[in-house]
Amino acid sequence: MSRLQEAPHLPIELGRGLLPIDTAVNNRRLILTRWVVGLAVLGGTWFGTYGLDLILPEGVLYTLGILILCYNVPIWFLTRRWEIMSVRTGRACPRVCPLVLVQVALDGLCLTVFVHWTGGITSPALVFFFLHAVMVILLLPGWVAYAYDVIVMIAIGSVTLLELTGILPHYVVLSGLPADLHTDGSFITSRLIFFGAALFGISMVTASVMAPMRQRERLLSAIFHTTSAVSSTLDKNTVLQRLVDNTAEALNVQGITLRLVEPNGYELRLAITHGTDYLKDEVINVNESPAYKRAIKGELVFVERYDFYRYLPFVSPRSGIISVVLVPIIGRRPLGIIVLYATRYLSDTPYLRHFLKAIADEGAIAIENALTHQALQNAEKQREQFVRVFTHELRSPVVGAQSLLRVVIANPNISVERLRDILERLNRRMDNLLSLINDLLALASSKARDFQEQLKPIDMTQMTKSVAQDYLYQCEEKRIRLSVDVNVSPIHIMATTEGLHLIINNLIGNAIKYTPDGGNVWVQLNCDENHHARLTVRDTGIGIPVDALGSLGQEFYRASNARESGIMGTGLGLATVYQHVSHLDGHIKVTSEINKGTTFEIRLPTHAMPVPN
Amino acid sequence: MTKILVVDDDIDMALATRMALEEGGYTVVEARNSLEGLEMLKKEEPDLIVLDVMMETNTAGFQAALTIRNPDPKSEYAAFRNIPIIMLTAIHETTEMKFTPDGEFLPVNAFIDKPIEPTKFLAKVRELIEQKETSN
Repeated sequence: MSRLQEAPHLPIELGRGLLPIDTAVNNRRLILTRWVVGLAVLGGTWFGTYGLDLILPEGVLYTLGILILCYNVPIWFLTRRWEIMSVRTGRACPRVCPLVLVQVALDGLCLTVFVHWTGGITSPALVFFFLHAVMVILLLPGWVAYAYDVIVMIAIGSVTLLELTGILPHYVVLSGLPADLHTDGSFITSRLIFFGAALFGISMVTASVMAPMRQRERLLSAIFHTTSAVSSTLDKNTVLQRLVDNTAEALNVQGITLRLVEPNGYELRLAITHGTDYLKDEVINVNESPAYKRAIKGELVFVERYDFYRYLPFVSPRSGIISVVLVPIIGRRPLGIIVLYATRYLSDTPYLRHFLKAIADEGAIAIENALTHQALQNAEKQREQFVRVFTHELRSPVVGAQSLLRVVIANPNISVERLRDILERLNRRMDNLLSLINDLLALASSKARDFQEQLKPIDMTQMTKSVAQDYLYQCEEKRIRLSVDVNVSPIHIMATTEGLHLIINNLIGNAIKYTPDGGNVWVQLNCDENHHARLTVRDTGIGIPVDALGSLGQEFYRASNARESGIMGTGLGLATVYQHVSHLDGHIKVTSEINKGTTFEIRLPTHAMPVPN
Repeated sequence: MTKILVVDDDIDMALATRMALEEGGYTVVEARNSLEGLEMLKKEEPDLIVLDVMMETNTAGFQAALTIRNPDPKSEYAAFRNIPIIMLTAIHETTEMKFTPDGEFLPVNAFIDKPIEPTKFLAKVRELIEQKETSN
């Protein structure tokens, strides 16, 4: 085992009421003190007897000192073992607490015996109980300390009573004191009252110092755990669950919910719950609660029971909840709200505010990390899909052509007609390949040139007819009826030849691609009342879901049904169309119905041609 | 006469396959997609199937092969469960289905790389047909 692992570093562990880390550290201190005490009893007895000429019950005191040292050995051994174990497992050992209780009981008993043998109520050793009481508070929660005080008072009272009645012998250690002082009623009463008051006073003062320290350690520990959770995983839900759990334990609240802001910015969707969720609604509207409305703007909001009806209409005043705290999680924008429900009064202290702010900041980091990670993963997935589709699309024409060529080469007796047919097919495949390469280039160049090429008047009528003509064969293959209704007279628009071709080609191509065999595609071109060229491409294809209509202009975007249909596509064609149309100051209108068909309507400003003389 | 079903949505690939097979003396029937292919299988009762992978979906060919090989005795295609299937594909081409040639379960008898090499392709077809006849 390395030195580092052996070092007495204990993992910080949260617990309810008791903090084993606290206990474990003080436990070590207690054991160390006991070595000193054991030796001090032995040394003190010797010095008292021979140095100060006191009349001490030497035998008993030596035995007591040795006894203390003896029972300290197994305790020391056990503690060491548990510490090594807890370093290995990363968790503090919960059995430290019972061990501490056993030690306190043994020490208390020894001290009582020591007090009895050094003079009972008159013993100068009585003050050691104060030291022991402080130790107990450092080690154990407040109520144990008070219980300890009561037990000590009972023990001392009993010893005094037994000595007074002569059941136990009384030992006189300090020769200057009257021999019957232990039977003096007023002495006993005043001594017990002062002793008790001092004992309880010490406990109270120490406890009041310890309690907030423990609370702070709990909060720090919660922040520490949350920070390590944020840095250990990118899974948003895991981090947020730990964040909420740690916060609930640290603050000892009954319920915590974490709701994330929906894209619309005013609705909150339930993401994580701890304990009781006092709000059953999955989604809540921030506008329905003034408290939420303030929190979403970045304000930490404390609401008490009497204000629920005003600020938190969702929370019933009969739910037993006293305090509700709304903690906003703000990143680059509002991300969510953590809501704490407590059945006790949560006071608005600067320390609590700092703590909640730190926790919320960790939450914001976790959420933003997760969102960034998700965006990167999606981009990677899209890229993979893009590469896959293009590999296939680029390979297909070549693979088909090459297969035909090989069959022809292997077959010397092929007829001239067959050969001619094959050559035509090869020619068409090469055309397809070229147009695919052109598409890629168009995309690349339209990006690179940023539409800097000079626009010139182009006859859209001619262009539409020619593009439709190119698709006749494909329509025949798919048994699609392609009807072209184009104005006889030319319609000129300002565009680039490549740009306009790309728009028309993509729209007609898509209509045919996404229309099942035997369907219909209509292409119509005319001028509208505002002298805009209006190109309408209507099909009886698979349609576009309503929620996808707004995203058609995004590169690589493909509607869910298009992806699922298995029809090859890159999500680039329409994106380029949208870019070009907007560059030409045109508009696109899409209407669609799933499995019925889609209509694309494009309007482009016309260019009035000078009349030739 | 030995009958072979070619399922391919690419008409040129289908023609190349048909010509290669006809040159080897086989009768060829064609289907354009996997559903049509499954229909033809029942109707034509071929001796071997040549399947393309990417048709109406990226994995339509695999799905069709799995349908034919379905071990359920009540399956529609139970009679054709042991029919030899050649899958025409570039196996190295990335598909959404992770199949490897030495994977634990393959629904087909052979993979033939595209573009097809008529001599090798015919040799594989003959081998599978002979195997089928001996096993019968």
